[in-house]
Amino acid sequence: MAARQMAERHPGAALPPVIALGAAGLAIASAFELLILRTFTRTAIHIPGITALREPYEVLSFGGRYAYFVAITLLMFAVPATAWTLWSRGGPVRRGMAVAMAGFAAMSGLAAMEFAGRLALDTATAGTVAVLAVGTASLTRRWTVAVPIGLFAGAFVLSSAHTLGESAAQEGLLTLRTDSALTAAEVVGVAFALAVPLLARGVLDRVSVASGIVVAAVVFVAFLGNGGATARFLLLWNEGLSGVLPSVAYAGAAGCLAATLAAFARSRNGLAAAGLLLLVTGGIGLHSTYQSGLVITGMALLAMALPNVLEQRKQPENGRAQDRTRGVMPGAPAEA
Amino acid sequence: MLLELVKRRRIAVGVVAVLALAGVLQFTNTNPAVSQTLYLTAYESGKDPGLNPSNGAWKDAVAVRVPLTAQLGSYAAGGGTVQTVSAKALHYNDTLYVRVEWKDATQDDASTRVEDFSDAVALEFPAKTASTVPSVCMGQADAGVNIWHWRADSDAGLKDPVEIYTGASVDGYPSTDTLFYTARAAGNPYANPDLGAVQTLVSQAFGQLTTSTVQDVQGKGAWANDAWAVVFARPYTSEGPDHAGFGAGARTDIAFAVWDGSQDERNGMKSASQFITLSIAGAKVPGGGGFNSTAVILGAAMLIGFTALGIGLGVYGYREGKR
Amino acid sequence: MPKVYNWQLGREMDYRFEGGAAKRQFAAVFNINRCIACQTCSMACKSTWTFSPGQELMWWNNVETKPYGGYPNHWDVNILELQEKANPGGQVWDPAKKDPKTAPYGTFDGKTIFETADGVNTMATGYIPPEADWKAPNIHEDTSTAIPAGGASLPEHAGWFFYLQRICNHCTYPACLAACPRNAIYKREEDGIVLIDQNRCRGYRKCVEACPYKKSMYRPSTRTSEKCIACYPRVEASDPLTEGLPMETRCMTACVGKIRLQGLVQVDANGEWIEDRKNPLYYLVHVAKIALPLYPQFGTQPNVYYIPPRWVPRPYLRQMFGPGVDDAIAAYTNPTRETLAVLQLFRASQRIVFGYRIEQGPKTGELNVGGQTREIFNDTIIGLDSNGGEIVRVTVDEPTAERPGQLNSL
Ligand code: SF4
Ligand code: SF4
Ligand code: SF4
Repeated sequence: MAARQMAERHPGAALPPVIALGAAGLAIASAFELLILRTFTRTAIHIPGITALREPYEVLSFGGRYAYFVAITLLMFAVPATAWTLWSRGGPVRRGMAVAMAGFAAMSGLAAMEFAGRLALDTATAGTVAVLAVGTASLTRRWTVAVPIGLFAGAFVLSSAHTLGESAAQEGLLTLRTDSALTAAEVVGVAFALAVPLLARGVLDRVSVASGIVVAAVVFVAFLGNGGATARFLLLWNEGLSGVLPSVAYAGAAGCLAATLAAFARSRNGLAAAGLLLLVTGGIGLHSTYQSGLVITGMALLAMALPNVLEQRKQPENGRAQDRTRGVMPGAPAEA
Repeated sequence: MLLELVKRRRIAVGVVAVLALAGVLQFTNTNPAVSQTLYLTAYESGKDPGLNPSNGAWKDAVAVRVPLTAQLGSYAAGGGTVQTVSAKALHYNDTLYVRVEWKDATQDDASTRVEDFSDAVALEFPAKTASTVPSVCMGQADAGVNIWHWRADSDAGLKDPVEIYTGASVDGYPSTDTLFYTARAAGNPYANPDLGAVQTLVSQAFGQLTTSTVQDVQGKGAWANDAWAVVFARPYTSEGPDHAGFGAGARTDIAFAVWDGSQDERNGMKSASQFITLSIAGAKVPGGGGFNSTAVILGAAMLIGFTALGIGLGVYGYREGKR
Repeated sequence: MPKVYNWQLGREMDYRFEGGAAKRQFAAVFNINRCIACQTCSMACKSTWTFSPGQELMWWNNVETKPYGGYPNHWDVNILELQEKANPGGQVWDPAKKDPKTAPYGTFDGKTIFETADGVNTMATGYIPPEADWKAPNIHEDTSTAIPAGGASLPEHAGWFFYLQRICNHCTYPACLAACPRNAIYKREEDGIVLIDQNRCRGYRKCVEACPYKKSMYRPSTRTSEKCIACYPRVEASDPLTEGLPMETRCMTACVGKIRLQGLVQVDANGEWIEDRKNPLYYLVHVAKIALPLYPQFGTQPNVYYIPPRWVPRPYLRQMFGPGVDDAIAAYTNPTRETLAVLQLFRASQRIVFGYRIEQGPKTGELNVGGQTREIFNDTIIGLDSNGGEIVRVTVDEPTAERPGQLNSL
């Protein structure tokens, strides 16, 4: 009993460097893909005179697509690798989470080879997200973790509900009216973003808060410009949000996410930062196994990283300003 | 020291391997990811669905309800009146049939008065199937889209006002040659009284929508019980440049847009969906609301498994917390 | 939205595109004081361009009786109201912020139709007048505000109406062009004429909605919008009738009341008129300043200029033509020797007059108008074509001849 508890409470901060590097690479590649492929190449049409810049446009577009393939290659390793890491750290909760991830990975693979239908794949995806959220809450047993992670999973599952309902109908099951789930997902999704700084409680310093405010202001201004059209358009494209809420909500959400990301990065919780970034690049709801994979990897990374953040909170001085300028990404191994 | 070096080299090799593998995937256009958007399956129909939206062939096809949102991305933004379209698809004799239905309390099928705008619906396909979808917003420079645009007023036919206002008294027209219908004389397809109900368009960017040189999509709409139902039909293969291609077993993407004329919706002022997956199944439509048992059983298994796992972890965590 | 300079408003303003679309600009001066509402201009246009099926309700040129009339009904009141609603109490001018070149009427402190639009849903504030509004083009003809018992006398009539002659203004910053989501509307570089490409137009009627003057019109028989084309074959002299020399438009040349003078002026990249002292339009608009733009506050920088009617209450005129009204009426009431000569060019020729020369004549009379004594000289004005060649010559005193008595008894 005691041994198991030891394993749970002290999960061993160090991640195998390959995984840390892979996670960082994945977060960066997916962010690049989000910015270029999903954002720039689709909004460039709104830039006057872009047609004259066809060549740079095509180079960028090609680069964005390449980033997509890099991200998906990394993802194919990242999902099993993070699942394995969780498993090998022991304890029923981590192992249960690892099993869920394996289920998702298996279904994605089967679906890619056309051996599994969408109904099973989509159920497995939403299920994995839900299990990871429950698992993370169980591991940390803190409301500051349970609330934001739960909200994210809630939004994801609500948004998936519509697709699942329609898939069920396609397979001959009863048709449910699930349209309102989409609006609910939107509200819960924004609530998640607004609650996300809770995750960084204790490591949220002034600089992070300031950067959050700057980002919120920038987003707010972006919403003001051209009546929020482009901003809402990007939301829809990238996060699966329809932009029905007032713009302050989205500005606040972006600010909170940015502040938390900054806080994680500044407190040397690179792994948590990478995890959160993956939730953003993956978005809410079912889009593709690629985006779902990003979300699931992100949640798994958070499940591993958040206990460390909580530890750090207990000893606020620990490591905090040790070496601020070290830009080493995810949870650089403290060995040596 | 040596160990570090070996490790580094391994990492470098790993990085190179990942980058190379990504390159191979891109080069061979292999996308290991599976779309998880809504999907619409076109089964083979037992009989010719024709263009009549109330043809019995549609009875067995299952509809997917696709959410629409107002187009707020670019000028002229607007729309949002219609929030859902219900889409069905079938194929018959190497022709793809798509049937769309949506609620609209007013039948706006004339644009006679300056304040009259027509109800309309459009389907959008990527010009070529690729691993990544083009911008749903009229395509992008390196990934075009093919649009099938049905307009209620085109379906109803183009008339001169004197043919509509039969009580009007007119002294006469000096000439009614085409030349004096300026837009018609200028070759504007929408000014042509012989215009079909559906226009095929291609686009590579917002504001660059152009009528295709090949018009091979047929369509017919019917309004009843406060709803429009419109059928589109096109053979799998098309001669048109940048036209979407289909085939049994193939998979592509499809997006929808709806205009409500009574709300002055036209052009960018529309309700539009994101791309969803359209797959063309080789199989016959599973008749009588066909029940796909394999899919359902597998899905149910997943549902039960994950729910059990979730509850288990939750309960365990709760108990541990109590201790 | 990019910024462009609008000299009629004395300030920069928002517009969808960069300015400087034209090098030469179609422009005209209409002398409201002389119009007799014979509608010859309206018929000249209709019988040339809009006599075919689907064009029944189209009057590219119309003459309406103000203040009640309007084609389409109440078009100006409706736009003014929309603008007021968007910027309550703010639609005001500061006549003191003036500059002879860049802000000749002062500065407009309110918002233009482009500035009250959000740039995503609309590019310019406007509305689509329903079909019924186009069906009575001459409604309220000759309807006066009152029939005062004691009659009416200058400077302001107690009961009044006047005729407003309207064509497309071929605006420097056309709202119709800014509004077209298909970019089917363009402004020609060589003469600033604004045209709708009849092949590209899809009948979205965003131009009908956006044009504050309601001069873009919908044609149901072709599902496109059409508008005044400034008789461009005449202006560009491609019509064989012109024999290669630019000619004024149909509605101008047909004018019975001789109220119209149209031409081409040179403009710079800012849309400002390049000084061309001996161009009659430049003289009337920028030197004498007796001709003013119609509702300049809308912001499109319209290019038809009006000599305001002398008898109409000034607040109404200021709303319609801006704060330049008082000076314009004063200058028209007692015109200078040059102004009087230039006014003789109206309808003296069908050819576009690009310049003029005045030969001084003897004093032939003396007048007292508004308490001011003025001498009349019988000067001769010579209208010149773009190469300086003489087109026409007219004198201030109209030549008269008396018929011999015995002929009268015939
Ligand atoms: S008057 Fe109206 S139609 Fe004419 S150019 Fe100006 S905005 Fe366009
Ligand atoms: S300029 Fe020509 S087209 Fe325009 S109103 Fe006059 S006559 Fe008609
Ligand atoms: S022809 Fe001249 S006088 Fe007659 S209505 Fe037209 S503008 Fe007025």
